[in-house]
Amino acid sequence: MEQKSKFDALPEHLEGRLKESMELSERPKVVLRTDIRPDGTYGDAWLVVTDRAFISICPNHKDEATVNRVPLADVHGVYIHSFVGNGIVELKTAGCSVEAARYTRALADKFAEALPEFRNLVKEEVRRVEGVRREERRRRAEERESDNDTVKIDTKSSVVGPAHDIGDEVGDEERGGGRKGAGGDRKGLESEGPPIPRKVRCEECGRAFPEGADRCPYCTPKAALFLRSLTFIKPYWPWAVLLLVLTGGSSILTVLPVNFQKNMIDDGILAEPPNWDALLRNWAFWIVALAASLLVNGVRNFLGPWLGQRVILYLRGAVYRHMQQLALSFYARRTTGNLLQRVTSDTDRLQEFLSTWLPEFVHAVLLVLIIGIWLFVRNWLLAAVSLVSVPVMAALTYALMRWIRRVYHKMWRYWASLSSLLSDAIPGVTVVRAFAQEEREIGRFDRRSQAYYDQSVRAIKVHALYHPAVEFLIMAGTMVVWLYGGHMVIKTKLLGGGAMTFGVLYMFVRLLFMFYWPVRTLTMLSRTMQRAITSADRVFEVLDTEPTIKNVANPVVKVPLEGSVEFRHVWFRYEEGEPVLKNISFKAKPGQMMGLAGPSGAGKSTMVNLIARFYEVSSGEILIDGVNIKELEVRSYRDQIGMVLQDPFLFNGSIGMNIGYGKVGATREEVIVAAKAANAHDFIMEFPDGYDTEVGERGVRLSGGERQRISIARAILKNPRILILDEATSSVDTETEAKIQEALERLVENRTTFAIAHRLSTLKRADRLLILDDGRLVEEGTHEELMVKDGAYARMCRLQAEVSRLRAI
Amino acid sequence: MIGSERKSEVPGSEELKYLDPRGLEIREASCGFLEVSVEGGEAVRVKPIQMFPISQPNEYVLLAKESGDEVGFIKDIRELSREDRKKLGEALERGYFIPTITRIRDLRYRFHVLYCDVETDRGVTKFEVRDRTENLNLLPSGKLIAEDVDGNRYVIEDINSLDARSRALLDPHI
Repeated sequence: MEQKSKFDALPEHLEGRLKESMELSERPKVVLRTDIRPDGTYGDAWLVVTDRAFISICPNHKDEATVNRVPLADVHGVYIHSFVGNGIVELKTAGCSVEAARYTRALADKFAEALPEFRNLVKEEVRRVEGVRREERRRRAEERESDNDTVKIDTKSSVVGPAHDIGDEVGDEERGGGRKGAGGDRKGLESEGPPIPRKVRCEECGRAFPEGADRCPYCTPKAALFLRSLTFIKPYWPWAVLLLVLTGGSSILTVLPVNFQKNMIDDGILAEPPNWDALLRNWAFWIVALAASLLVNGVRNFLGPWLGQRVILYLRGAVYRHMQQLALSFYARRTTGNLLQRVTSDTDRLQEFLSTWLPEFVHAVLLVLIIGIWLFVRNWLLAAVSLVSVPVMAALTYALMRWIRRVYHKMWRYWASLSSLLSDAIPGVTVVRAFAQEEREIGRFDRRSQAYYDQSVRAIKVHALYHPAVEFLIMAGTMVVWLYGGHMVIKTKLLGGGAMTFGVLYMFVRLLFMFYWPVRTLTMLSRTMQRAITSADRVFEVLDTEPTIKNVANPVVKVPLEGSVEFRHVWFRYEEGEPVLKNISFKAKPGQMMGLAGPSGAGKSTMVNLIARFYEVSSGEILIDGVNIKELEVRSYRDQIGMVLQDPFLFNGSIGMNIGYGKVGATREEVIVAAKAANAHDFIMEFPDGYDTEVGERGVRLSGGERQRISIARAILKNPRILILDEATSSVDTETEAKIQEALERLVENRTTFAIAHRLSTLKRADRLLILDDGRLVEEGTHEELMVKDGAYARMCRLQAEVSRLRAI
Repeated sequence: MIGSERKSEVPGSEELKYLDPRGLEIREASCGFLEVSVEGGEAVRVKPIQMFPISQPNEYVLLAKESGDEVGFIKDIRELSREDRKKLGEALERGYFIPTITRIRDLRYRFHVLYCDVETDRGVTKFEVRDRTENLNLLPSGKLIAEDVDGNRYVIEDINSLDARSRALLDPHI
């Protein structure tokens, strides 16, 4: 039971200070490190909560520390405020409020997590103090009975008591209804369930995850990740081995001609006497080696990219297939761009790495090894002298490449900023004209254009410098070899003996030339590997995410559904943050129309998303025909749900295809009947291409009302048992609205319907209305009942009537 | 005629209440909130919110209750008395903890995350920025606003007045 502290530990040198400020029986329960001191500078400070008090400890210079103690019994409420760049723990006491801690947002989760703990400790203490007081009173009463003693002391000890219970009533009014706090609960001491921490950092190393990734690239073992990317090659391993062999062969064939050239010089041209046969023989070898090299490289250049594409074809498919199965919550956390990237550029980058870079690196390593060993074997001294320049060369190349990349990267950024300005200003040309802001736009454009120009000039300069620099690096090594090698050749000639011939010198010069390019390739290794590993990780992340909405072991298949829907104490929160639905309970009978109303952000859309089982409830349950929604087979269930959304999404394709999307194998007749029922037929027939009219990407070529009616036709064709209308009639003109309304009325018949609407008049004919506010169900009943009740709904109705009256004027 | 009618239709134009500094009494500042009394009225607890925190941090400061109801706005905090300004400043300092970067000690870009090690007016700190285009916002004035992975903010008043080394470190990323 003696659990000393949670969360953090207090450093030893402050233990003494803490002990001094605690009572003897007092025990620390929660210790939290904060990173902003009360004066607003960075630095460690500590908040210790014991079973008696909040103690803030802020170390000064030397070994002193300021300590501020607030007894738990004085605390009426504990609050956490999150402000820009920092958060504050506030303790409300009778007279004032006390700042217990400040922290940067990096620690926000820790404090949010500790908040319920704080509140519990306060509650426990209050209960204890009250107990003690009751005991005291009882004892006193007994004493009074026995010897009729004074009453004075009694009043003194109960001063703290009443102040408590009044204290928090002064706060702002209770939000919503439907919540009956347990007797002693006080505002600011109540917790709304544990918060779910956002994951931005790796738990092991504390580094931030890259954008859109949920795994730490540092802590994921890179070798394992690398090997795992290789597993994709596994089905094609004979080809991969062949590629490797060819790469090895190619490396050898690249350097082999140099040997023949050396022999041509030493054994042929410069031999005493000159030897025509040796010249010709080695020349022939050279040709053969050249031909073989061309052949091998040809096959290699095909095999590498082919293998890469092959592997990625499979991988891309696997990623997309997996993404289609993932829950919507996976999508909610990421932007479309991010997800697109995983299917396209991340897999592409992996492909590039596997098919181009990997063989290239192998090639480079082999070349460096072969050439290096060869040089040393031939003449270790000259090899050592000539290779001295190589590390220098490698380092300089690396630095130069970095510089160039920076310059080009900046150029690219300026270019991006220029084109983003254009893609903003050109579609917005009407606005520019309307506000007569041409000059300003031109100015903005000119500035960015100029910046891009300046950067281009810089890039041109770097580029102009690059080639001479590279040439110099190569030449520097070569010149050393010419000087020292030449010296050795002369020495050999004059003194005789020794192994240095002109042929060997020539070979050294040539090989050194060849040495440069693989070294340059290898300097790019780390960067390319980093990029590929990040991509690999993002791809694997998708593949490793388990679909959260899965069938249970023996799912119930219920076709057709009757359509009753019941919520029992449903709580829901998205992965991050506050609960969006709080304790919702209601029941909809088959065929009933339920209207959902309430301010935006009240949780209406979330509620229908739960009915469609796009998300799982956090607690409580949803029953469909008396069966828990989690027990139902997902696909057959969703098959019986229809949705008409405010901004319906149409796929790029024909109108007919879009209507038919709801039902596999729908006949033309069915499509037309559905379109008629949706009041869409007439406008469709006005298009020259009729049902074959292409709607464009996301349906851009149609108006909002047209898209809406097509989505209604889609839903009608699907003939769902449960229908969801999310703001189906907003954002269209009145005439269109009437047509859509008419279509909807046909659609609603005989189905359980959940309709969300801002315009309350559209909900009048609902069988029951559910009024939501801040995630709570505040009212339920028919239109008439709620009007009589004169609560939130009646107020909303009056307000809208007022607004439309104003609009009419 | 039409002009004057239009004017009253600008949404919210009448709801914004200007607070006369002479009628405003700031009693206390704590935890980022202020106790204020307007025109001798009852004390209310409000949070000061800068309506233009970047372009005009000293002007248009809105005072709003915790419930979200607006009490009114202060047009220019320089019109307040010295004590009031101090209290308001204290509350604003808590509401907007945005350290000013004075020197960059080190910047590293690894795995698409920018690791920053900087000196600020609040002391030395380290933070990480993801997605440079999104979270490093360079204004035309040369002011740079950075937001780290946790949502903390940092500012460089003018990147052109940074020392050469800091500037060289920063340059490739903006």
